[in-house]
Amino acid sequence: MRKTEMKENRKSEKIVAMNPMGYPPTITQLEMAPRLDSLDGKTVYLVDVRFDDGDILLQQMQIWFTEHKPKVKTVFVRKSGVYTQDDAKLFQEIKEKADAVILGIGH
Amino acid sequence: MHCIRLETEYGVPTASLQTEAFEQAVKAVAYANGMPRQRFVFVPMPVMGKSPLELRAYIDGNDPVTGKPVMEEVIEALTRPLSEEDKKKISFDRSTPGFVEPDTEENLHRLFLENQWTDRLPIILPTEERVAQMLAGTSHKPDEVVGRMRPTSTREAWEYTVEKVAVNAVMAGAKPEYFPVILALASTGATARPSTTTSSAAMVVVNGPIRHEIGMNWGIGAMGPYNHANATIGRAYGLLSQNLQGGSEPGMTYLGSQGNNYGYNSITFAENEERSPWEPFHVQHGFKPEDSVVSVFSGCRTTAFQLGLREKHWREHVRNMLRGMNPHNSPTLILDPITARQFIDRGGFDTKEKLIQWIHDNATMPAGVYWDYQLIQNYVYPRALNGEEPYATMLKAADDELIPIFRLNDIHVVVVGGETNGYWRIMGCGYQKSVSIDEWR
Repeated sequence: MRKTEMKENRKSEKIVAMNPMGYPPTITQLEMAPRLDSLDGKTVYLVDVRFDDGDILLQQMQIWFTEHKPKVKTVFVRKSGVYTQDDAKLFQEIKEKADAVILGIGH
Repeated sequence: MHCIRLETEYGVPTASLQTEAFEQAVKAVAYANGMPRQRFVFVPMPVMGKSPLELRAYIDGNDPVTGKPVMEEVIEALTRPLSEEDKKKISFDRSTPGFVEPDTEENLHRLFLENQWTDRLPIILPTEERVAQMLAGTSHKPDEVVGRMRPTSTREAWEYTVEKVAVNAVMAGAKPEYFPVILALASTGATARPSTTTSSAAMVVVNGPIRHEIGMNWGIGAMGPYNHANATIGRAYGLLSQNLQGGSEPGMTYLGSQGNNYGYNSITFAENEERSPWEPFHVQHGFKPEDSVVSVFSGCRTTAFQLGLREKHWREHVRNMLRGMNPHNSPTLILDPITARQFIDRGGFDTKEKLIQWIHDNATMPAGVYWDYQLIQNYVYPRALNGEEPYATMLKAADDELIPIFRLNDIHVVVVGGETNGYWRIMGCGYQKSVSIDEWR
């Protein structure tokens, strides 16, 4: 066999390679909370997770609600802990006092 | 993740406000965590540093992803009734096949590149035969679970076996005799490919007899591309991290804004125990000198560099270096043996612990300046408010009072270098853990 033919054969030879990816966990779809008919007369918590300047953004959104949706009661709060940490105390307060949450920025 | 918890555990409808740069990432997180139809609203990037007026314009403007008004989307997220699709409760496995479809060498290289399974440098194709050779480097069975890893705390952890680690070790060009070190790295569960926007990389320090056995470098050029074991063990750590955790895809599972060249081999080197005047790093962390151990650091991105210690002003010079570091990443001093001995001559630090104490006491800045750093605001200030020490006490300091920048236990010292000169550096990074290599032989 000529050298060039051998080269071509090698090029077209099929190789079996192993997959380098790990094993992902099973996904189970979670149920979302029921939505509100309207925000009028409801309490909406604006939750700042403390990432960059998200607090300023949410405070501006609070002003928007005052101007455009005065029937919506908004409460601005800052979550405790760094942005990835849960705040069980605040979440419990939300469950008891809030009808909906707008959370930002990120996470 | 907070929104998913509020929806599922507290029964409260949410609108998750995100910046456009995170669109792919947050949707992927929602999907993997079981809420693929979570309702997001996007605003332009950046939010940081913008004035209230500029941010008000974001609120009054359109969602850059959908083109619809931001506030219309916010209200819709909270009031649009759930559809049948939203209410579906399905469960499914995501499988990973053991092999890829047989193909030519050229096509397989293209496939690995297109699937983002590489660091974009050429790899060794992981054939069954090569993986079997790698597996001969350990007594552990191929199907033994080594650990779980994730690119960030909000992502799901993926699981991996000895065989899966071997596949990645082959791709990196590692030899079977390096495999116990690579398995030990995988067993830490600490990723070398975090998704963080900060572009952080990992650092790996090897101690003990294995350094000699596999020919690692702790002398001239140890932290550079001059040794096969250092180079390929570090590369394997990066590849196994990205593939075994479920990817490191820019925009999706990797968000480092600038990226980081350290990521190519995770700054992998051995400590120069023979020329160090101090206790080896692994012995400081509870191991015996005869143990072979690998230690992992994360968050590497800041470096300060200097030559030697001048007799008159060395203290000021070191303080200047420390103040130049990112205050959120504690310092690990990486000292050539010449400089290690100079620290003893100049300061009398005959143990690493004495040097670490001096570094702690001298790395200070005014409290007002410290607390104003954005990274400190994001990551430390909330912990101080929660009463976590020493931050809570530091928060009580007056603005002009000098406070320590770093916690004592977060400061470390490693000796490496070939004594061609007394150069040294400070690496801003966080020590994660040290694990036995011997257990993976």
